[in-house]
Amino acid sequence: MYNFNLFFIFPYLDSLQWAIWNTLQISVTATFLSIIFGVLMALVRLSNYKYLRLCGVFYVEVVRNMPMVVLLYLIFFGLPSFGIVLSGYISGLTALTMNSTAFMTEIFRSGFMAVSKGQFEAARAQGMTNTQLYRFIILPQVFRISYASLGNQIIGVIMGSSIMMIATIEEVTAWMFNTGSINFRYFEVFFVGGLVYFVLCQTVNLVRNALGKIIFKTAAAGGPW
Amino acid sequence: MVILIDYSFLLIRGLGITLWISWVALLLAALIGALIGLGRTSKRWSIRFLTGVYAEFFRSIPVLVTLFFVYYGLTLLTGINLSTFVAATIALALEGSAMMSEVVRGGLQSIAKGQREAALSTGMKAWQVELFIVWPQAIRVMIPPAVGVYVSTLKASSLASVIGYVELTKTGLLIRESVRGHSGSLLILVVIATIYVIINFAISRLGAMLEERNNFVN
Amino acid sequence: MSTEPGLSVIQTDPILRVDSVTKSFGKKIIFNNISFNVQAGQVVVIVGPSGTGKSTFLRCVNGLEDIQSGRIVFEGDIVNAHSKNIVSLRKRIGMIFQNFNLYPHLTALENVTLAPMKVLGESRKLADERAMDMFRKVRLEHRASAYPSQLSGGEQQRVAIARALAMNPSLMMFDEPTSALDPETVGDVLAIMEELARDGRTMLVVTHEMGFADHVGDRMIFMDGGTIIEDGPPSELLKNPKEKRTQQFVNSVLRPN
Ligand SMILES: Nc1ncnc2c1ncn2[C@@H]1O[C@H](COP(=O)(O)OP(=O)(O)OP(=O)(O)O)[C@@H](O)[C@H]1O
Ligand SMILES: [Mg+2]
Repeated sequence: MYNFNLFFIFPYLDSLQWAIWNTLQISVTATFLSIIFGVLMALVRLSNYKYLRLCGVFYVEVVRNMPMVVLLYLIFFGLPSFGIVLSGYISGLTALTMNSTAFMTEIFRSGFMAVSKGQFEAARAQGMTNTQLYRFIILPQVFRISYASLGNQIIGVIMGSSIMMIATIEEVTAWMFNTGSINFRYFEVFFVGGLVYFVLCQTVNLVRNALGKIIFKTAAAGGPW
Repeated sequence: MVILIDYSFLLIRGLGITLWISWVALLLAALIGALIGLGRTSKRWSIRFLTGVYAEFFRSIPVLVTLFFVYYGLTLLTGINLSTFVAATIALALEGSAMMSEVVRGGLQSIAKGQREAALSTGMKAWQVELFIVWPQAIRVMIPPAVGVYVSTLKASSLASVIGYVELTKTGLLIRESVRGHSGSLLILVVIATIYVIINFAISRLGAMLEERNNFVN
Repeated sequence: MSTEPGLSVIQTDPILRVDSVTKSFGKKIIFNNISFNVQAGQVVVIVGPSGTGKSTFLRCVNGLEDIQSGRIVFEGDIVNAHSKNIVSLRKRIGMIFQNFNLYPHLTALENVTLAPMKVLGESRKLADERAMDMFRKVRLEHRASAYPSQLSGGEQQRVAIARALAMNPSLMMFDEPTSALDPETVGDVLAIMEELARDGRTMLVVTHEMGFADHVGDRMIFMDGGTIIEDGPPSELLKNPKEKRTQQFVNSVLRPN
């Protein structure tokens, strides 16, 4: 019978710490970038120019219907054909950001569409400039509407970051894989690594729910609690 | 272009395997997900909590991790050497079951309370109400999001390539290795990506069509 | 036959007995210590302002809600929402809802035949035949194969009445059956309810239709603030109510602003 003993993990806690740091770093960066690109792409998808709109649709449909590993391989193995050689980290971050941007675009697009036309008109009627209009009236409402889905997508980014081990990034899944293949204590390794992911995601859930209550006074949206 | 023709048979076979494994995993996911989803609408607090934790657990564990765990961990535990196919199917089914439980819960909760009450008031037993009134309606609501779960599972099945299961992605990687040279390498990856995009796009459109039809009926 | 409480000499056993029933949701008391009887063949109309617990009361009689104290006895059986025999009780009580609650995935005919087949064990042939009788009764024989979404509100409510009738219940309860209808279809539904009353059906009707209450009702119960304020012949309550609250309510319904 397998003898479960977390003691076997102790020698690898140092590398685990780095792995968690790497997972966090790439997830936070990709989330941040994809929120910005997502808002911009959502505006592209809602633009008045048909061809711009079509470009937006094309990007979203292509990227979100493609497995992220395949996107990563395209960047990692394919781009060198054009003489572009990216490091593993940059390739991974690009793939994760591109993938997340496609989903963020859809989230923000439905957010924009849910803000009523009257809001634009009321703000313009008060003499607001376009920048003021978006900054004070539209974007706050869009974030409020998209808030719950945004949390889900952040969890999606953390899940997706596990694929970055393929781009030789030393994040938590890579740590699990490497440590397991050295000490063969798969159960302990998976227990600890799984716990890290679970805690990360539930933290996102809890922060989302707590923050949502404070900012928007909306009810909890996820988690079994 | 030449390599495409040479390898077209392998590509079609790879696509077939990808569709097959994600289909098997989806069916398993639907079965487990239906039970978990039922539990999540239970009147008992304890059942709701446990099934909620199950769904939340798999939602917070990356597919790749589940895949490694099933492939290496279960082999260690049971002493049985799981084939890459079995390991990948189990992992995809577990991940999918969490999504499916959400679909089932949403479907069941979308049925107005009055439907149950009307059925109860005609003297139907609780199981008859579920079988004749609630589920036939709920299933229609569940199908479009279940199509979404299929697309997710299909995309996730590409990760089986990491443990060496030769589905579409792995097929592409193997062809790439055998052709060498940068141009062929890029081409084959683009072809693989295009196949995924076309298939998933088509399936998603189907889901959207089903959803529109539903909206029209109700 | 109309039996006025306290007046009739030979009083048969009431079909429905409500003995000091109290209902609350958590700490919130909906109604308190309500008592009254319904005799077979009576049409009892319950009126009262919104939120006084009229719907909740009907749901308690059908065991869709439990009660906190008191007793509801229907045809000699105690209504207990949590007991197994509640199913056999519900077979004998038909219920019509404000928003119809037709099953959208079934045709009108299937809506009517489902319970007779699954609950009473009737054959499809018999259930279909009897359903067509019910459709004639509610004058919808031409719409039997339509789906609920293809029917107007009034038609849907008539199907709901046919669905309840098909179980041949000994008590029919109506919860504001015409409140969700367009004015022009209200009359159709009320006409059918009037016919049912003439056939001698026992009916418990929550409604704001004072004309119907006056014409068809044998008795009128006015509820407010969780208690029965007044109980008597409709004409009495409408023309010279004893209680001030009844008077105010009647005035507000008969002469809205
Ligand atoms: N499940 C419930 N939990 C808590 N309170 C409830 C519940 N159901 C009903 N109530 C409350 O009970 C009170 C009575 O509701 P009910 O629907 O019986 O009133 P009603 O007399 O039928 O009013 P209306 O004329 O508007 O239909 C209301 O204040 C309502 O908010
Ligand atoms: Mg009511």
